[in-house]
Amino acid sequence: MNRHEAATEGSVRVEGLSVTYKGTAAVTPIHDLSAFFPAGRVAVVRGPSGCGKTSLLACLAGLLQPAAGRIYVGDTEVTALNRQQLDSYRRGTVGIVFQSFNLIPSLNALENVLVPLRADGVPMGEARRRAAALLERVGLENRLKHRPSEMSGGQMQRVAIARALALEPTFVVADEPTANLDQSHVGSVITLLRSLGTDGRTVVIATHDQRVVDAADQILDLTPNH
Amino acid sequence: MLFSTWRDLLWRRKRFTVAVIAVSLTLGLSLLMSGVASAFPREAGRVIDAMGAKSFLMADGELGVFTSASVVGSDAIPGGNGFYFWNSPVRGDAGVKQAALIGIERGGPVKVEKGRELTRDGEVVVDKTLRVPVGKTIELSDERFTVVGHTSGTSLYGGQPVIFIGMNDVQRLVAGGQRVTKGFVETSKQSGPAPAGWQRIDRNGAIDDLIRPLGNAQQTLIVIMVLLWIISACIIGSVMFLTVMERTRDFAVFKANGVTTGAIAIGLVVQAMILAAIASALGILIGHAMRPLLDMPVEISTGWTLALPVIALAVAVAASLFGMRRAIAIEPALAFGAA
Repeated sequence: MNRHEAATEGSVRVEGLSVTYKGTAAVTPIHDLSAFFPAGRVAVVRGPSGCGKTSLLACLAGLLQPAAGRIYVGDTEVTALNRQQLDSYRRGTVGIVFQSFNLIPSLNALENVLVPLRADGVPMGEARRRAAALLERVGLENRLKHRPSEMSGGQMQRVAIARALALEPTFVVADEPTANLDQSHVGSVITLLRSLGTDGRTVVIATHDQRVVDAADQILDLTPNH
Repeated sequence: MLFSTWRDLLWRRKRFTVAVIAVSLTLGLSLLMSGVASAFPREAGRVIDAMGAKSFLMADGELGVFTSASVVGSDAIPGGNGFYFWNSPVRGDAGVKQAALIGIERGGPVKVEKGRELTRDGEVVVDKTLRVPVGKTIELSDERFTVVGHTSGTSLYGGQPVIFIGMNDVQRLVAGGQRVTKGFVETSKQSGPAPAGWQRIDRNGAIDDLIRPLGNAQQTLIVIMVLLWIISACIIGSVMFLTVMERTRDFAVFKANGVTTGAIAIGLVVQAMILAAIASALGILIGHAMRPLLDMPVEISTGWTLALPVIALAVAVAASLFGMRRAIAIEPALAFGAA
């Protein structure tokens, strides 16, 4: 089964999820959360700061181990994967778009997109071709050699989206993707994220931005007592 | 992922350059120290070779063919080539200098580079580093001696010039004219046992005797060399640790994108090894370039020169482990700011 075929089965199911941060006083931003995100849809997770949006995305992306509960992406139980399997899951199944772009400052746009491709063992020549095609798809064909410091916020976020798509994931999570953008760049990024859902991917976006909420197929509200 | 390793090196090239310079200086100094330590036995070997000695005969019970305080009669072995060794200040054109004096039989087999060998009393053959021209005189124990020849590379104790002087003069200066000698030089290879009451000391034994007074100095040089390697390791380790501290978010992003911890660790080791490789190449140049600055023999061996990059790479790998441990511990969730 290739990744596009898997996309039709790439729905995401969350069962009884709880996240607890231990410290001087333990904090539990998510308690016993269950949700379902169908394949091919763009879902938005909203709520006030501290309600657990980013924590939910981190669990969905296999970056954070929940205190309790299960997460299934297709037939894969993400919460049961070991460290090595999680590396593979993050490489092949999920693409992540960060709020602050998280581009590597020493790498240019093309090289930032090369990171997941090379990590997956794609030969350099082919990796370069695929990275250039992805950057062309997000409208940055003239910025391949530019470093993050030489790009606008919107351009950096589009590079981050291209990087998230590098290995054709069936599932994309995006954390406040428009929060650090000028107003003039928000529209193009929303359009780009919206187009990911039409490609058959499951897209889950954490946001405060009403324009992103308006573009979504599904809304999960994490406001306490909601 | 080596492309990102290389890019990061270029990105931090100023710090990298400073680290390379610092490490290359410490490695260069360590190479220089090795050259000083190596020179002690080599200069002793050259002095023995200049005497034409294949081996020496020393009375039974004595501990040092050159350094023993005891003497024997010069007729103890009929026809033997007696010799004497002591240390004394001498006055030449350039002032008073400490010299190693070796008494030899007149016309003995000293390899003279310029001038001639000893033919009569009152003459000396000196190492050219004494800087007294042939034909001039030196003052020794209130007597003047004419320099009739120069030897080259004949020094002891880290550059102390050797003066060859006739046994008649030696016996007058140090023994009130008594016919005494420290032992006997054998100028051809001997296969049989030493004569009864004598022990045969080969070239290596004689070298050991001559450099014994430098044992502590050699040990100190080795300690300094090891300290310089540790300083190199500290420099590389701190640079790598700072890099990891600064790249914490980068590594979290790498891991979030599926890059394995092993690939990140390899990248760090490769960075440290590139630093060490460049620094060791520069260190070799610096070590050799600094040799003329020391007014003593410095003989950097090919072995040490070849060993330096190997030592530097080993130091780099060990030093990068500190930063690597931290990089391994970075949680990918940090990329979300959720760890």
